[in-house]
Amino acid sequence: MEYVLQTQQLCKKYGKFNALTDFTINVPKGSIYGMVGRNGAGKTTLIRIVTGLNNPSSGEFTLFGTKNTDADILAKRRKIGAVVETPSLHPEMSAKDNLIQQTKALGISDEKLDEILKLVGLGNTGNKKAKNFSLGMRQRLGIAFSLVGDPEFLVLDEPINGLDPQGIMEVREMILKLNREKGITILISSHILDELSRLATHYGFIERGHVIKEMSAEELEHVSRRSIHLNVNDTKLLAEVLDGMKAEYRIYSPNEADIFTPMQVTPLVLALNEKNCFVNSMTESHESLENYFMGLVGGVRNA
Amino acid sequence: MRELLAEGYRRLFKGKRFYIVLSVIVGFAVLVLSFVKVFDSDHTARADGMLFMMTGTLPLLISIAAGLLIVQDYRNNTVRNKIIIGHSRTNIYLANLIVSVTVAVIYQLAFWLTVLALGYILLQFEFFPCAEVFANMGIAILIQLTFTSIIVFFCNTMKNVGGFVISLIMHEVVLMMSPIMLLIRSEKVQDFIGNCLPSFQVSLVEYNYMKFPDGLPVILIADALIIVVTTIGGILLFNKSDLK
Repeated sequence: MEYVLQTQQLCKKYGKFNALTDFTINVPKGSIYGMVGRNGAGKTTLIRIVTGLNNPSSGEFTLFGTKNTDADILAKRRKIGAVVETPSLHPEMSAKDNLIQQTKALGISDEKLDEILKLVGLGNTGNKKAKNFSLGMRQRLGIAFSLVGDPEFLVLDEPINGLDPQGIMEVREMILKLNREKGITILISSHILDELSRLATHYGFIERGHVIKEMSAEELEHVSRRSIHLNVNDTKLLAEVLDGMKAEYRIYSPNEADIFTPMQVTPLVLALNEKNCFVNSMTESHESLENYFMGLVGGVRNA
Repeated sequence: MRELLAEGYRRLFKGKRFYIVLSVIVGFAVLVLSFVKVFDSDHTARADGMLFMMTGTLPLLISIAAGLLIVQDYRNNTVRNKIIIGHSRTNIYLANLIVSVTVAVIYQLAFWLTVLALGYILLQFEFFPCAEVFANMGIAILIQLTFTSIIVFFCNTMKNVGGFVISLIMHEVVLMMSPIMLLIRSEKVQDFIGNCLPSFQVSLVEYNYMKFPDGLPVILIADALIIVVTTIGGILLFNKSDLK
């Protein structure tokens, strides 16, 4: 398999804090690679290192097959487009003027800019200055910035932050279009795991500066379990019953829980009834990306 | 590098600040020359000295135009856009320096052209054109370039308004500390320090523009050293630093 980005035991220290420790990740060419991790897990640190904003403390990475220590790495970065955290814009300039700045920095013509602005939904902003844009518009302009150089590898850090539901949908469609039609490899981090699960073809699960698991979406589909989602009046009582049945379960709140062990519903409901635990609702579902991640990092109680 | 310069110059010339400061410089020259013409009842005043009256003030104005241009690139995080697409930090620093030097040269030339044109019409010149005045004009340009390299160093290294404020007030701070020079007993050492520091060099050209400076080699070497050291130091620090 050909990889656009590979890191080998990458480490980054900020003072005494280890942001990344032996961080190893492999982003296949043509994939949409979703980075899943809590706040402070190291997602943005990795993105900053790959884009050249931060220097690694140790370890190395290869971008399009070129090591970060090679002089040629700067030429490889020409193939990157990125939005790192907040979009980087010139507030006193219009959307088009902002993009013209980027064409100047790239040394390319500005003939495609109208097309890019249309693609991100900013085609009709005219002379409105970027400082007067809404958060969502800024986010879109940030994405437009990253597309100016016709990148082969797009790095998006929380690209749907601040977008309204329609905006989220449009950005999702845009990302999928760029990946499918132009073959752009995309590395994306997002807290909104439900949204990530609609996009990603590959996942990297990150916790405390480590990659704890990498897998494709198909593999995730295969390993994620079916579950019964319950809403009850008291999950403590539910836990007592399930412990007695030696069932595997996960509790999310005083009323919400998932049961992963296959079981018949009637005996369960009767056993709960005996303990005065009443079932408000019950649905069968496939384990979500969020649940899989939480199970992986042990973020919630797991029998 | 060419791309970075194109980006930097577009940002500079598209903003209002560059033109506002430029009009202040030209306006100041016009105002001073007109005042002198009006109030000089004996008609003895000449415009030679006025060629150098802004030598100490220009660094402050260069800071406002060029220093803020650099600091804003960091405040808006737009410097990221250049690093992400593969421009080396060394080139980004040098492009900032070249754009800032351009600002310094344009401002200095604009001031001189105004003084030369209006001074010739209103007051006439006593010494200009002569080798001594040209030599001091050369030193004045060198002083501006030295201040500019220090401004670029502070703004690029601190990356915030603090860097801009330091570059704004550095000349005044050095002048405020000048009484310390009185503690130095040796006149030679005093002269040497006076020739080495750009803030003191300003006084040399402002008040002795009609003669060649005594410590010319020291001035040239000191300024060249400051430019080289701040530039190399700034590039090394920039290459090591982590950006937001």
